Amino acid sequence: MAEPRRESPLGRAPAAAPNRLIERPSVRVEELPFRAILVLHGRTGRPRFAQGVAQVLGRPPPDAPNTFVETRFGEEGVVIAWAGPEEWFVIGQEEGTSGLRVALRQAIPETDGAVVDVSSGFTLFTLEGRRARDLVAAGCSIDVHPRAFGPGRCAQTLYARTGVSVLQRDETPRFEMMVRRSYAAWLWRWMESSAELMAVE
Amino acid sequence: MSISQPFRLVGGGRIDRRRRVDFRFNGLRFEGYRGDTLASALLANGVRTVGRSIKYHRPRGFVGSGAEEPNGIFTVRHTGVEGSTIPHAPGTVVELVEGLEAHAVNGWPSLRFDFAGGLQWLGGMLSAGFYYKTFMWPRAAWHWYEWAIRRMAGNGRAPDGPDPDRYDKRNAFCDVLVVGGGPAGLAASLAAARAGARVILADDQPELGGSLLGARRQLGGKPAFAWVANCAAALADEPEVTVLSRTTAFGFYDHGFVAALERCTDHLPPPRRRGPRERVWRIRARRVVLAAGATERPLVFENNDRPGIMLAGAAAAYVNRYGVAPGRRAVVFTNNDSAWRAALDLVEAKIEVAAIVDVRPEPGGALAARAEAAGIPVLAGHAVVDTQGRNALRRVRAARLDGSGARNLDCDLLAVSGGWNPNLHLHAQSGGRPRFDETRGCFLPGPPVQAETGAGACRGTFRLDACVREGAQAGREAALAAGFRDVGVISAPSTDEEGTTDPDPAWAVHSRRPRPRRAFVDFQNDATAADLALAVREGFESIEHIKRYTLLGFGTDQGKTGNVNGMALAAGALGRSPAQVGTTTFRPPYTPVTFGAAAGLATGELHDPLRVTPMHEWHEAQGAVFEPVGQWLRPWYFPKPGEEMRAAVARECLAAREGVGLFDASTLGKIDLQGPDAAVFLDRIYTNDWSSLAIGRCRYGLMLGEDGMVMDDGVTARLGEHHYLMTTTTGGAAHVLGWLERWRQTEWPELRVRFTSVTDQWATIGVAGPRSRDLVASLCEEIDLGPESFRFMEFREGVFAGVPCRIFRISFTGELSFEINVPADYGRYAWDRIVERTEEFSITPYGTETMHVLRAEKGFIVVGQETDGSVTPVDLGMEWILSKKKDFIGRRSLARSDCRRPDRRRLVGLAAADPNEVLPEGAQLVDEPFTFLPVPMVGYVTSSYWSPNLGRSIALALVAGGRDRSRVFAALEDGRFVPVDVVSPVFLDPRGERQRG
Amino acid sequence: MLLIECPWCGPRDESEFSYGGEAHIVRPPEPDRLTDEEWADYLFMRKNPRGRHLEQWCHAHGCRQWFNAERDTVTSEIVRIYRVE
Repeated sequence: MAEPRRESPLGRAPAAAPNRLIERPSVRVEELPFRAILVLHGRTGRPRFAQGVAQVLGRPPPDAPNTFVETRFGEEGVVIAWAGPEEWFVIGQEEGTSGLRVALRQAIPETDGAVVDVSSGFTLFTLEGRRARDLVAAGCSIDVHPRAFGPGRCAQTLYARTGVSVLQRDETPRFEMMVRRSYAAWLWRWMESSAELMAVE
Repeated sequence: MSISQPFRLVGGGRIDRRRRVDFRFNGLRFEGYRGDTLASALLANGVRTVGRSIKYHRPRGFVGSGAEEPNGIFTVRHTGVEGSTIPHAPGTVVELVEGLEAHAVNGWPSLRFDFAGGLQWLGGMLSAGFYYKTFMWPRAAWHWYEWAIRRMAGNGRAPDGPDPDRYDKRNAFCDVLVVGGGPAGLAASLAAARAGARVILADDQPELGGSLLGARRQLGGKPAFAWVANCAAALADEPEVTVLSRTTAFGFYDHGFVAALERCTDHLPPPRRRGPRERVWRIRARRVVLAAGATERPLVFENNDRPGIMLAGAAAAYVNRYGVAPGRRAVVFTNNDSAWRAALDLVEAKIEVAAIVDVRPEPGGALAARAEAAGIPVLAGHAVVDTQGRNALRRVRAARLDGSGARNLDCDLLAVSGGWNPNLHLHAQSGGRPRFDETRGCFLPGPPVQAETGAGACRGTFRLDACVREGAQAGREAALAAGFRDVGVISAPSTDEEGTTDPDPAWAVHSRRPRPRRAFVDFQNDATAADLALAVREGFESIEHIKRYTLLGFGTDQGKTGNVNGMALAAGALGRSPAQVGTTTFRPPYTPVTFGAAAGLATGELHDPLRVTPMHEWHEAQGAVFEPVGQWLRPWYFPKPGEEMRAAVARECLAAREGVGLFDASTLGKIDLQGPDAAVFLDRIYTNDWSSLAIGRCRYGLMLGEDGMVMDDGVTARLGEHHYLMTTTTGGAAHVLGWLERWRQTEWPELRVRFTSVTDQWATIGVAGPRSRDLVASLCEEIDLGPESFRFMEFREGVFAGVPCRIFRISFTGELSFEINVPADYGRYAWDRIVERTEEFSITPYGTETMHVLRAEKGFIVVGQETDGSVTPVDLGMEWILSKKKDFIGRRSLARSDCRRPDRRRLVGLAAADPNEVLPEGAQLVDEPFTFLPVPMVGYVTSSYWSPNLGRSIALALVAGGRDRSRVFAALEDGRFVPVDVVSPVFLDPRGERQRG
Repeated sequence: MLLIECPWCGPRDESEFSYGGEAHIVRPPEPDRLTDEEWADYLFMRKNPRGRHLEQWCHAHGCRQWFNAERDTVTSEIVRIYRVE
């Protein structure tokens, strides 16, 4: 049997362009499909949970709401993003090749926390360019002004009436938006329209 | 036109005389300049009559020069551009662009000769309430009356096609929002910006300056415009200031939320338009400074509506801002000083001023000397009592207030000022309550309710230097309140201010005629002073009722010029003060907002989020017909070429019971539950027992509201010691997750259990039918699928077509069936591997309609179809699922007396006596059709289908007393009552042998 | 559009929240001991004050946490936000 083929939520991409792209002079959006994404539940106050996470990811998850930290799992860059009190998203690199899920499951006792694989349930869009902030502001009411937001900040919110998580990755600014799979194709079309309006202004 | 722009002044104005702009009005060609509005360009061309009034069809001209305009309303298009019609735009705010085509919204066949113009000679017949009183009888004739009335009344023409323009929305945040870019707003913005605040300045004009755009004023010894230019430049240098021009703040909502409409491209010729036509700014401001200015109000006197009668400030604005003479010979009629300045501006522009008529005995203050120097005759203690002129103003009649000393004054312009009304709309929308100020003769803002403060004319401060000072102070305080440093007192330039503008309230002028002519209060709705008096005579006391009876303020201008006069006149008729009568409610929007802007991007397919499954592209390629289920798009059925729905569904139904039916069940809600207390939690949430469920097994669960009514259902599997996977209905997934969180967080915080939505993580492929086991086995070697080793209501983990999977042996069809779950990234791949075996296993994809038929054949309920929030498990015949050993949500309610009534409606099957009769869903059921009305309803049809497997129609219904009845009648829409047998809801395989096979 | 301060995420637009009605309605520990009237009181009867109201909100599109708010039903002013303890 042939190697099973994955398909991103944006559908069957042509082989030449594996990642979907919106490219305008002022803003650029690219899908980052097939990332390893986990939901992590637990209390940082419980040593067996915090130590379990630290053992795998080098540090416990961040306690401060709406922040994320960048860390490593072996050679792999990993983000731990606050998603609620006692809840985080762990975003790794390539789904399937990442041993992240197994390692966390083994490190955290069932009685102290939970690890749920949602790699297929979400996809990521990266937003960058001169008007990346405007593209964020076109769809959601999170204040992403440098005084109110910045690298290391994240927020779960509604973007174009779709639930998303927004992470600011650097000061350029580059944002990542994590969206549930079933909404992704629709949201992509929405962002294409929105970026198109910006491009011609 | 023989002479181009005969009323254009030689110099002056903020127009660009090098840029000529051609446009059309009612089919005729005209020209104007860049910087003109449609109104100023028409006036420059001597066009004075621009519409007919809505009720009496009287000729009308421009009254104002901005958003307040009640008369000059146009349908605006552009030559050679399809769509893009603005049906109802005030010509005073339409910026002139090449190729613009304007049509008056009223007047037939032409403005000069309006067919219905004779209506005004019907004397007192068309008074307030005329339509209410006259056209009530005969009632059936109203549709004819309405057609005739609408034809005669003036309204814009809605475009026929879809709007081709794009509209945008933007969310924005600031520390200080300043509304209005006039002297107060500019000063406020600068002060707040210098304190370091993030400032948004929203101004509705193309350039900053506000009232200074239309006035010749001095600030700091220089033309005020130099100060404006300095401010604009300083604001442009501030990195945290956003200046939004052509942007009207139209609504002030809760907690500092202000909506503003930016007009992005209407001022450009169509070929140069790019991007959105309009953009709604949704601004969340910590502090708001309202510097929205004031609107001049007219005076109410007989025949005060002829073309050529306009507000004094507007007349000055046409001269100063647009270089247009609104007339050749003017009379100024006023009760306050501001119109004196307008008179001086007219004289400066070489327009003859025949007289200033002022109701005050000693008017003018310091301006009197200047008027005298300019040679303007003054009639103090006088009023204009009447006007003449067939299509436009020719003469006015002035007299002393006691009626003596009447004289005629020839003129083609009457510039009127009854004082100024602060623009209180946003203040009032924010919760403020305007109060009447007797000294200033106007309503002023009340105490602020939100983090809002007024500055300048919108809080009744009319002196220019005071406006600047007040604005600076408001900006400073707003920034301070938002947590920024105090920039201290900001020095403001002094001004050439003279006189005061406190008017001598003269709400209406009486001619002392025995039968007075009409004196208009609301020009757009033709509401007169007599109408207001009549409303009071007929017993109306509340200003809100008087407004509705007379239509005062109901036009698209929302009564910006007429309301305060109307309120004061009503107060007078009631023998009360304006303070006692108060204002009507100021509702958003301040100016009309297009539907396009309200929608933004949310039109067409972007109207609402659409959710699709990993197999969606395959369904599309197969020509599936889709059905929306919540936000999901699900295949409804898969027609073969030329196949009707009924035939397609019949084919799909038979295939699923004979070969293999293939179904995309990915939309089912899936919730991962983990934690040591997960079982305890499930015991409380579901009606049945969960602690006893073994690992590797599944169980159907029913969830009730605390009121005992069925809320959701689904199968939950025990994946591990502390690990469960719950499924919910497609539409109920989000609600159920919220429900679980709520009970855990607010009622049982001690329970250690965590919820994660995994709906999107898994693609769920259902295969049903006698050959489904063989099909699954061909793709899944490592799981023993034998009937004894993998039993009904069990699940297995393994590998399916090379992909990690969870396979559940559960059934919603009553057939042997399997639900194969694979990570969604592999959903399409796994689906394709099954489809490849179509021939081998006679696989037929089926949609939601077939799923519904199959489950109805088995009597399985669908939450939301058999239930409506008032149905208990007992009503559904599901007593077996109610545990007696434990408490659960909703249990106590089932013991309430109402839930135990013997005559509650209960789920039954229905078999129409005619097996070909498919009952309509929702059809009402009765015992005895031919009896006295009203016939008691004993139940209704909840589900109804043609069952190809049974070769007859089947239905499920809720019927009082359930199967105590054996026969009922269904009432059909065509008036027939058809006999129906009440039967078991399980039509097929009542012992469940197929699904367990 | 209210601005509601989630105790975890800070101020957010009302559209991110769902409303849960009156706060501090505690589920009776032994429902069977209640008369129909007492049970109906727990189920259905809610305060509807003009003025201060203690109510539940959930940051449904954010951190999914339920919390309590004291809100003035006339002015919509949110006087106090506090966690469910």
